[in-house]
Amino acid sequence: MRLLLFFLLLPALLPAQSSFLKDPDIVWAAEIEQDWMVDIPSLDEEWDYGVSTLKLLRTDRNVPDWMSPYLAGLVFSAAKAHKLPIFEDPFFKAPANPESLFVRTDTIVMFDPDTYEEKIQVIDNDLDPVHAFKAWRLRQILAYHRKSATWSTTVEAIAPLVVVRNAEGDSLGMSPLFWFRPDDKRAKLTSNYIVWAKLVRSKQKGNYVSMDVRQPVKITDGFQNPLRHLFNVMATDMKTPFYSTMDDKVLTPVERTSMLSRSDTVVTFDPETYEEKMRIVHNDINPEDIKNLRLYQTWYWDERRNRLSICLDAVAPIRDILDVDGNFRYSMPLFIRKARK
Amino acid sequence: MRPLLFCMLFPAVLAGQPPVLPERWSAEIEQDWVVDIPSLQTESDSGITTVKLLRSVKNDYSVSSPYLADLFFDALVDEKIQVFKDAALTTPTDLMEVYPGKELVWTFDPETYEEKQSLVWVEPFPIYDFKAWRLRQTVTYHRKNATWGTKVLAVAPLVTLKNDRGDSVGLRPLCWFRPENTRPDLRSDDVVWAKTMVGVQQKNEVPVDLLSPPENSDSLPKLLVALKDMAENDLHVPLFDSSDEHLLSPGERSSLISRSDAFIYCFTEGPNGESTGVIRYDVLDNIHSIRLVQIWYWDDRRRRLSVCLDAVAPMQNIFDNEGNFRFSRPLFYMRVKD
Repeated sequence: MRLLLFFLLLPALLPAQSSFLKDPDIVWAAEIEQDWMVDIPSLDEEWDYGVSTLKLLRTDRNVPDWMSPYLAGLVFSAAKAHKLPIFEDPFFKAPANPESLFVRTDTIVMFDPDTYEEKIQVIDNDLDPVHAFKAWRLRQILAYHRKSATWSTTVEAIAPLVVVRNAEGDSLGMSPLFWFRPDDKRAKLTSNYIVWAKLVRSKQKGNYVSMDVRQPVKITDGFQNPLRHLFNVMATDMKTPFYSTMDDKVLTPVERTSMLSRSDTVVTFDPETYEEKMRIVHNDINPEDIKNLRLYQTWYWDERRNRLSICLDAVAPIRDILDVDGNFRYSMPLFIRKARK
Repeated sequence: MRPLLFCMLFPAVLAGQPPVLPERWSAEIEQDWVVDIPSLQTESDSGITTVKLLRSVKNDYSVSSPYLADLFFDALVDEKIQVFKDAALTTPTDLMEVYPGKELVWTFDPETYEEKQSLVWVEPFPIYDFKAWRLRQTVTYHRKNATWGTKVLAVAPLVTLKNDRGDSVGLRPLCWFRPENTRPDLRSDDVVWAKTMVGVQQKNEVPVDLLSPPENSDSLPKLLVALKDMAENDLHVPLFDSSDEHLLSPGERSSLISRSDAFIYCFTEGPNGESTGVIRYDVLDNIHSIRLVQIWYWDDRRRRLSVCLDAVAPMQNIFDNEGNFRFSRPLFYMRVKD
């Protein structure tokens, strides 16, 4: 009864999301929060973090950022120039003041070599965004659409994360410095206003999307696990394309069937008779065994609008691969379902 | 009669004058550039700035390469770019000849203790194989307009040169190709890769003695004198500071060119122990190289590299009080107008 009450009241609790969630085609939706590192200086290393630079364009307009071709520098400059509204909270209730946020007060001890005296001096330093912004915290709604068997995202808020220290200077963790509102509009990559774009795949520790959702915002009866519906579509509706994670090609019906209901030949050894026996094991994929999803998204910075856009490209269920003793070995994406563009 | 006398005596009058640079001064130079540096931070230390990178998404696991090595190699594989054996671009060659994919290596048999030479297949890996790029170009200074220009003649990817034991003994051009000198529109979707190159790498500052055409060995002093004269007197020619950001005022130009340092003589003996003096020096004495700032563009539709000059700076050596070299810095920048 309590659960029912929760779902009944949920739309009232989320007025900002209401119009989006009223869509009857959305049968499952959850609020997700991920931490992303996107400003990785090395093009080779960023691949390991699931990030690919799609575009970098230095223009006359962003010449001051030429030495920092990073999102941190672009957001910092826009916020400092009051071209990007920033807030203290992810609900955009309390506006933040860039002048006070972007000045860091440091206490330094000065030594006077003549008097041998130590003097404590308080100085103000401008924040260096490239080094201060360690990652980005992104809040968005992930939704599943029944008719098209596709996923969509609605980004709500994003924040640069900075290190929080105690009085001794020890790092205690990371916290958002301020929040701002990105949008979902897909930008044209070749537009000259798009000066920074990255393709991100949730491969980093802080950005897996767990299917064990803690903050569901909509669940229609029968869609407690939307993967059950998705797998059913994959098995039965051959007109709906699913893509290989290896080469981005459309999976054939045979590949789809073998992916969902795999048969393995297992050799077992009898220690008493010393005989080897071969048997066929059917390893049908159970949607309940899929614990995580991988999101493929493109982040764009529009220099003219001073806005960040984050658009969903595709979603892949992540399957854990176990050894014969049931120990976890690694995880891998099963297939890719592309989002509607 | 007077004009005739003047004409007869003119050469004698000129003998005491400083050397005059010809109207158009030109020299051929060769530089080696490391351009494919994966880290955006490291590349700035090497004088390189990625101005544009536009990658197409081939599939989830692959986006087009962000490196010139791969862009050039793909064009070579697709036979979209003509390559030559020599820098003069006279003898054509092809991919199979320059990159046969086979290499003779020495192998050691641990049982017979014999060394054998065998042919092995070597898969091309341009991003690792191409260590740098050799750029051959002519630099030209037009005295009347006080403008610089470059004409890029040939470019070659440099690969490791090995001896017959397989040891690396240097770098050699793999093949040569003809780049273009026309400046493409940076904002064109066809331009997928562009970098600004500032000659700070060891192999790409242009020593002034190299700039001197061999047939005219005194042309360099003439060039430097002409530059100094221009900086002092042609105030309509804009000069920029050592960071190429701010336009120099007439006063700043004058103090740069004819600087004098006040210094203190220190004596270990004598009642006062010190006295002051002034050292005047000629700024030309400390100029030993020229820095070129160029932009390299890759047009992926036409599969062509363009190299265009943006600015030139005479490099001034800076010394400490004991006369030890500390560093060199641009005396000023002259920007190139398109």
